[in-house]
Amino acid sequence: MAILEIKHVSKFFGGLAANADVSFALEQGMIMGLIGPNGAGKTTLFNCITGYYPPSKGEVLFDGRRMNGLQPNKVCKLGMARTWQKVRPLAKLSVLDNVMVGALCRTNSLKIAGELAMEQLKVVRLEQKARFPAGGLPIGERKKLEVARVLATQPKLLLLDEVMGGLNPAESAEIIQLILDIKGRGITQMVIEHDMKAIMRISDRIVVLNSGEKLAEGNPHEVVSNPDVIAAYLGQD
Amino acid sequence: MTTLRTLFADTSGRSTVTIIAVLAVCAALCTVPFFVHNPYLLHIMILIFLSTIMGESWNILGGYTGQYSVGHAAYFGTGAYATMMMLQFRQVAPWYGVWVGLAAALVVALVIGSICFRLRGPYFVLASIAVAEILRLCTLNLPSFTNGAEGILATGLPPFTIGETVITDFSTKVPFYYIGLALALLTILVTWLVQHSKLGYFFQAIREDQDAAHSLGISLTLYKNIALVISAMLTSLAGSFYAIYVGFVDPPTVMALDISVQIVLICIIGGIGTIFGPVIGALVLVPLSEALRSNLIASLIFKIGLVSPDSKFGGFLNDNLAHAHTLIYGILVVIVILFMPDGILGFLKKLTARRKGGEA
Amino acid sequence: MTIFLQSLVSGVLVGGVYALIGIGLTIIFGVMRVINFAHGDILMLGMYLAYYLFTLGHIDPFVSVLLIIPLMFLYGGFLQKVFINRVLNALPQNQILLTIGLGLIMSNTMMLVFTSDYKILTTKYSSASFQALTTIVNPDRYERRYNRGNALLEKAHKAQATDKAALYARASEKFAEAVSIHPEQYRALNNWGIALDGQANLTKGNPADRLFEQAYAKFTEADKLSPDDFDIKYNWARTLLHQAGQKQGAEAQRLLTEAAQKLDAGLDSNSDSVAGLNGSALLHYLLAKQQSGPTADAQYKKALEQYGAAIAAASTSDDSTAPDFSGTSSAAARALLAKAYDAYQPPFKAKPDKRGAGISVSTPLAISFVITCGITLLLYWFLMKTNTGQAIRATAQDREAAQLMGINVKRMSIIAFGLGSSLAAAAGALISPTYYIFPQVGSTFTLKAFVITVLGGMGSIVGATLGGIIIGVAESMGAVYISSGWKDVVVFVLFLLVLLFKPSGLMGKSRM
Repeated sequence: MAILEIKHVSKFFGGLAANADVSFALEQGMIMGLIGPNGAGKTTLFNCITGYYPPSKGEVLFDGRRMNGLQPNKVCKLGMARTWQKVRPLAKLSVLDNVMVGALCRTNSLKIAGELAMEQLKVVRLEQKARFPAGGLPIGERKKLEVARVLATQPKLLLLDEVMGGLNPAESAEIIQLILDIKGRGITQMVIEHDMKAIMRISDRIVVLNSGEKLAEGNPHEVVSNPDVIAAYLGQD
Repeated sequence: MTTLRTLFADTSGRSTVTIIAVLAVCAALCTVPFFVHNPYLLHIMILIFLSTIMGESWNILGGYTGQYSVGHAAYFGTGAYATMMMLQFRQVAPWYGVWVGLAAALVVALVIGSICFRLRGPYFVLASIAVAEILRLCTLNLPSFTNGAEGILATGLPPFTIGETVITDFSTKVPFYYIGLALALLTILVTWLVQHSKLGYFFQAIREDQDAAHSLGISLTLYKNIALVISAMLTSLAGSFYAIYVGFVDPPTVMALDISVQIVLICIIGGIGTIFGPVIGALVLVPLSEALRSNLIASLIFKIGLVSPDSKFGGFLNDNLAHAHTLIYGILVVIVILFMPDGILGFLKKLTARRKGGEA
Repeated sequence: MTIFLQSLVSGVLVGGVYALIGIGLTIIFGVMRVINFAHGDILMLGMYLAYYLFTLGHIDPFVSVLLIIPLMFLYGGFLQKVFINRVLNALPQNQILLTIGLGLIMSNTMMLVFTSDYKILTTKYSSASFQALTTIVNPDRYERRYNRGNALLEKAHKAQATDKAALYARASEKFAEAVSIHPEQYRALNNWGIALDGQANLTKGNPADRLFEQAYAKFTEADKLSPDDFDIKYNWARTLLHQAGQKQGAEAQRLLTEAAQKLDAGLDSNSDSVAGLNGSALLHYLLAKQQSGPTADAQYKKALEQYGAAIAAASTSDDSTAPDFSGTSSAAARALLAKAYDAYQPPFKAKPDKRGAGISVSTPLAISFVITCGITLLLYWFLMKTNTGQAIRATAQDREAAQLMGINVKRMSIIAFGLGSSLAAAAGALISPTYYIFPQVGSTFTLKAFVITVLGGMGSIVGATLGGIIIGVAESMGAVYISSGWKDVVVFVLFLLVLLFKPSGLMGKSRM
């Protein structure tokens, strides 16, 4: 069953189409890779799905429910959580408090939220830094914190926007493992990524966006052998 | 030094030592009127309480939630006017009038919130100023309702009685001292409760990053308005207390932009987003500006012999220094912003941390 | 219409100065993204500089502004280098608070040095004004006809007997047209009556009576519109006297009695009019001659009283038409009086009435507006044509890109703050002849500056110019059509509406 359906979504800024008639669907439990050259409209699509922009046309269905016009906080409560391309730690709060904010989405008790948060920190192996101010973490740990924080909101669907961006290979490998672990917990994921090797390894299915339009969709092998995709990527380089 | 360090420790620290220290200070403050009979000293203590209430109230919205309102005079004035109008026009005792003030502040806050919270950053600041100015101008221009520019002078407070027993007739400053102390403790308690609840987490998340907070399931509109309502109602309490204590309200003294700015400065100077920052701010600002106002500073300058009181400049200082008591606000805020951007409390914290580091 | 134009013009003139304030703030915001809460206080410093340069140095504020601009440029540059520069990367709220603090220091220091007394800079032209736009204000041509009628009337009085009739007839026509445009104008009705009287005097019999009747109708109408006007009753009585001169017996007596009634009623509220008292004396004298017995005695007594009053009034007034009756016999007095009375010209209300006036323009505001335009044009030229100006604009558009292109961003910030400060201070100097000067005056202007810049779009100079004028007009319209107490409310409500519905302002973002 499809957990997320994107139906003919378009988003215009002025006369410019950042997304044009994009449609695809995500099956429960899968990892969907979303790739495309810079400016292809990947992050815009994330913003349309999670309520930051209302789509200009088309609709977004999550668990069969129409999401258009819902505020981001409602979207999160319904079980769809996202991370940010440019990480957004709550700088003055401690690492634990950051994750607790996410956990408080589901509980009113600080005690339970604390326990939940600690659990997520263990998942991303940041429990040692629980008391550190989040603003002082290095980039790799910030990315992990971001993942721990959205995991604490107990999502059914996770949208990860370039969680490996700016990381060294060792850190990337850790994140890849983390994504696979999350998949193991039954959480569906949609991942924007530039690292093609990584995306080929983790994705069950891949959607390629180019200039706001869907260029191709298929399993990793189909996508890499698609001549349009090759042209788009070569053209970019 | 241990207690002090704990007091200034991590904002989420909730050690029993802090609680015991706070209780001890409270107990000590309760006994002050038994030893101090000088009405001027009591007056200064009352002003410190008042500033603390104002600062703590603003802190919830500005310090914790990051919404820099420079229009809190609106709520201060609403509380002050509501209480005074009930007392003078309707003969309702202030301890009932306060509730009218709270209700009015709630309404005003929701109206202001619905306008200002659509805006962010500097635009929010400007909108908060504009709305407060509109309220002040309305107060000024509706003389049949508010007595306009003339203001309202209290002609006398009814004695406070329980049953037949007169608890106090408000003939001295002592009852005001206890009311001020109680209200200051109440606002500190509210702040403590907010900080140690889901609200505190959500408020701070909004302060740190609105979009991130939004994506974590926090309704910005709802929680900003909750912060505003708590903040506005406590500020209105401060306004009511001021009105009863001073016995006079008019638009320039309770609704002007100066009041809003002073409220913010108390927090900035003490340290925003912390429970004790506004207390420190009040402790520093009130005595300093009162010393200027009462010419203590001028006489101090003469005593040290910097300037002779008989010289031309001395006479000038003697005549004019008192009028410039808000000068100290200006100088302090510039120093604080440039050299201790986290306020005095943050500065002390850093100092102790550095000393700790040095020892280790 | 006039009221609307009046408030529009004064709004635009004040708006010009507001624009200067707004442009200063918007340049600072554009280049540094800092909202300067000390802007009004810098303006206040400009006012004080202008005040002391005027009172101590005897330099007119419109001249000293040339001195104040460079001085405050240095001051602004100093503020930027020493204070603002340190918080450029801090939280916006800390920047705001720093400028609030600086503003407090400025206003309180001024209070310490110059006390909080209100100061007034009084120049020769401080309260002067002139009329403008007279023709635009009177597009309905009433005024032209009225004035033309008056000119014809004047000409008719002086003309040869042969031309008189035609001139009076043409004057009547003009007044008739004027009245048809504005039937409520009693001055035109009154003068019409005079013209008809002139025509009637030149004929006899029935045609004359018809003209007299018409003249009475005009006076009746005019008197209804302006019951307290002495001149109308005076002219009315004079016309009645003229008709009485053409009649005999009872008819003449009736007319004279009516004339005396009219004139005496007018004199009740205008008891010092020499001409009126003379006329009244004459009328009572004529009536006395027509009657006999006690009624005649009473009329004679009244006439003598009026002579006395006229003499007394003439001695205190400088009315040259007042004859001196002292020492003359009553018969000789009568002759003198008749002569004097005939020589007396009926008063013309040729002075333009309120409707006819143009727009009153305050001279200092008009001068300051002209200087403001000059400064604004110079500023445009500087920003558009000079290298430094272009560098400033580049910095405003994208600070980082400008830095990469080798622009000394720090220097541009200093220049921008200097420019902003000198503009605010210049505005202060320009309004110093028309505003009270006191240390706290700044905060009002700071608020106005915010409203103006947000209205126009933060960082847009064209927007700030437009915003300044809009706020100036909104204020003066609010003051006229609502009340002066509510005019600031109008401005703030406008401000909130723009913030809510077009937060980027009228001119969008950073179009400098």
